[in-house]
Amino acid sequence: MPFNTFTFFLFFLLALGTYWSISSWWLKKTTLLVFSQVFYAAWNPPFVILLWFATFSNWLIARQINTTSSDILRKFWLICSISVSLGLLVFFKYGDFVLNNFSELAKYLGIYFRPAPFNMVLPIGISFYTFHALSYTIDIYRRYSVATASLQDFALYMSFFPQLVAGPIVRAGHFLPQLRDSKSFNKDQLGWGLVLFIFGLFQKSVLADAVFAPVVDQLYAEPSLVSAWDAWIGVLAFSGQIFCDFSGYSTCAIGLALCFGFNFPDNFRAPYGAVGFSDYWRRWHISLSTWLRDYLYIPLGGNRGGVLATSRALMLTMLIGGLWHGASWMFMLWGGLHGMYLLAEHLLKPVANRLGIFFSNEGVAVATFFVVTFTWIPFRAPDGGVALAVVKALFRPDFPAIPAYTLLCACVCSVGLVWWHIAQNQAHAGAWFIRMPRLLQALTLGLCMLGIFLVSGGEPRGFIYFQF
Amino acid sequence: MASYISSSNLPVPHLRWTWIFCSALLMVLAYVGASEFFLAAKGFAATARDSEGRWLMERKRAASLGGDALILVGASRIQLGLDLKVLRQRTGREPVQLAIDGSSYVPVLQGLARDPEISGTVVVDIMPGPVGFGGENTGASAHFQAAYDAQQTSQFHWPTYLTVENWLADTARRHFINYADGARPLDSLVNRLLNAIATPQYLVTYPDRSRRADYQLVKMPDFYLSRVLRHIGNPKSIDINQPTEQLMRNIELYIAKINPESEAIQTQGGLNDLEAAVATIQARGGQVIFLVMPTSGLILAADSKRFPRAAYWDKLVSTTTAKTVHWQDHPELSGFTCPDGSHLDKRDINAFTNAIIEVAGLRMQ
Repeated sequence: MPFNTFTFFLFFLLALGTYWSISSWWLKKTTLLVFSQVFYAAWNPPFVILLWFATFSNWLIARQINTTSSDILRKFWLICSISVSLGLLVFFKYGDFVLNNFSELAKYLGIYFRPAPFNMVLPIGISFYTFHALSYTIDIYRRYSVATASLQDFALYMSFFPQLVAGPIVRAGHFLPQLRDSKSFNKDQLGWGLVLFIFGLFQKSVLADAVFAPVVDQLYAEPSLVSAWDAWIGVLAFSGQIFCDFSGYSTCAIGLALCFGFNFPDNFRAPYGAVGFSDYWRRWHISLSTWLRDYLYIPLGGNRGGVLATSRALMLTMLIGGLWHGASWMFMLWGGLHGMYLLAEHLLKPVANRLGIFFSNEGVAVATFFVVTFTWIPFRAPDGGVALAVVKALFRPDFPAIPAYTLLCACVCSVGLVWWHIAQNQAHAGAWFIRMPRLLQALTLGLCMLGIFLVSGGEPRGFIYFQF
Repeated sequence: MASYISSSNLPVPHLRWTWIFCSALLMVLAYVGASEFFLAAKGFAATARDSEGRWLMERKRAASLGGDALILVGASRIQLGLDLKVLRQRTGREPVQLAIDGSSYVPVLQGLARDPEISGTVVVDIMPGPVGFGGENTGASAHFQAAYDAQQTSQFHWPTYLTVENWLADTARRHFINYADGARPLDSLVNRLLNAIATPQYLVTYPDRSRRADYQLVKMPDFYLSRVLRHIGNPKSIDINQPTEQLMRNIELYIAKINPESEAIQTQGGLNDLEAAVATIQARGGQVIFLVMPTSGLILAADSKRFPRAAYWDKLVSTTTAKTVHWQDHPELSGFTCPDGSHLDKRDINAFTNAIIEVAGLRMQ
């Protein structure tokens, strides 16, 4: 169930109450495990079996890797683990894509091939828990960590409900040690956790869904009917929407985990205040970008080889990173564009450093933001035709088709968001709240809660990253 | 060691949480209380919400009632125009409101025809224009019907969070005026509380999915003219910012110039499709009634110009085995005026429902 529903509110209260009323640590963990399975089953109950399969098989394989001393056998078990995890991911997420592209290629070569309809429903969160499992077994293979003997602990690592369906992608080395010792109730953790949850929900419900989404939806639904005004603000608004949607989810997840006494890593650090593209990727979806760096970019050679080898590793990493978001050439294009930016930045670094004296950090941050924003066009557009139509709309002089009030709200919030990120790009997320006087803290929290109430009651929109 | 992602979150701050949360909560409760009070003072009341979940429940009920069901299909005209209590009392059957505001009857009728459990009476509200089953795969009715079909694929229905969510959301909406008639509290604030000339709550939705409109609450003829403009597609050639009388004259002139749609858009295939659905339901012992609900003024004039009766309705009557009722053919149904041109006022629906029961032969024997 999504966080922005009445059902989740009740579920959370029940889970929290049960968890803190139990004294046994084993029972506490079992409670979290049961609630996490219920949370996942709330979407599509049969897919819980898939989660169990991924959990049990990877736990078993990791134990084999851990106990085997033979390098060949260790490699064999690692390949087994990767095959199981990626097999599930490829089958459910990319099956249709592969078949359709294969039949298109066959058609191009003059061969008639019409695959039977695949019609497979994508199990929610599969991209996230697959990456959890992969990082766990690879780390054990690399002897960075040891396999846990407790199936309960591993199952909780795979399925802990705050991060189960849309991250952040938590590493086993970060989470499993937190399961060793019993947690005692801490009022500060609960308070701060709830504050983060409310901030995250405000970002999602108010900013992403109520302010940005109406403009974005209209632009991408009929790009040929809108003016440059609508298109520019719509393109800006998507930057705001995707950030507030995903960062909102991550903030909720971090807050919820803290309510149960667990610490999750940051997933966003003012990404629109980034100075350059490397800096951007150190701030955007940090848990994915560092995962790709550690398990893909570095094994592919990283920047250890020459220019050509580095370029190849970088482009492959970014293309796969794009494809991770979904089975579509548009995501690949988005990843490829970012790969090119990173490559250009890497190659032109000496020149850029010399030119840097002429530009302020703020100026470079704004320029980076605009490039990132335009690169979101292929990410959001369902196909190349729509993406091109949106680009054309950016140059179509006409009166706005979207109501002025809606455009103004989206525009002000987009500009405000970028300004905030530039101003806060060195600060810890949430530090501004802690520095406030108490009255202002209560007022801010009250206004966020009021905002969530004011936009409640419509059809709740799913979080964008659920589909990945 | 792998370079784990940073866990450099801020250390958990030590603040006076109880004070902060209580103050924030108090602020929200104060707003909710005050807004509920002022909305009530302005004449607004909490209503049920015409949601997909509610429609699915009614659709399921239609299937379970068998021959006793009196199923109403169509759009807002039949949803606002018939009194289910009167229908229940005078026909001895159990009315089920399946009409969907602003949506096509086609997917719902197709679904009823496909369903072997449907053997009752189906009343279909037909709008002037061509009939047929082509190109109706979008819109709320297609979406609702698809959701119903998906539920029927297995005997056991897995409950999902949506089952609970629909119930919780409906409960909240039934008790808070802020959510009246599908509004969000933000809509209530902007359009109802802060707007000095807010449109009063003229429309109320009931848990049985029937709706009532009180047109004495809205400003006429502005409301009527805006409905007419919407009906004729808000033509850009009509300036809506002119004085009311001038606007009325311009709309009349516009409608006078409307040409009839090409008769070719009513295909024989379309008529055959509709008849196939009728025949399927009637073969199971059911009955289908096609009904044209009353319209008035400029809406009637526009429909009559675009879709002349002889080219559309009369063709349908001549090809269908369903019972047909057009309000213009029966003096008992012709005496009603739609204040907005398109829908009956709540004061008229009791009498109209009684008249329909007589004309359609639905009275309990």
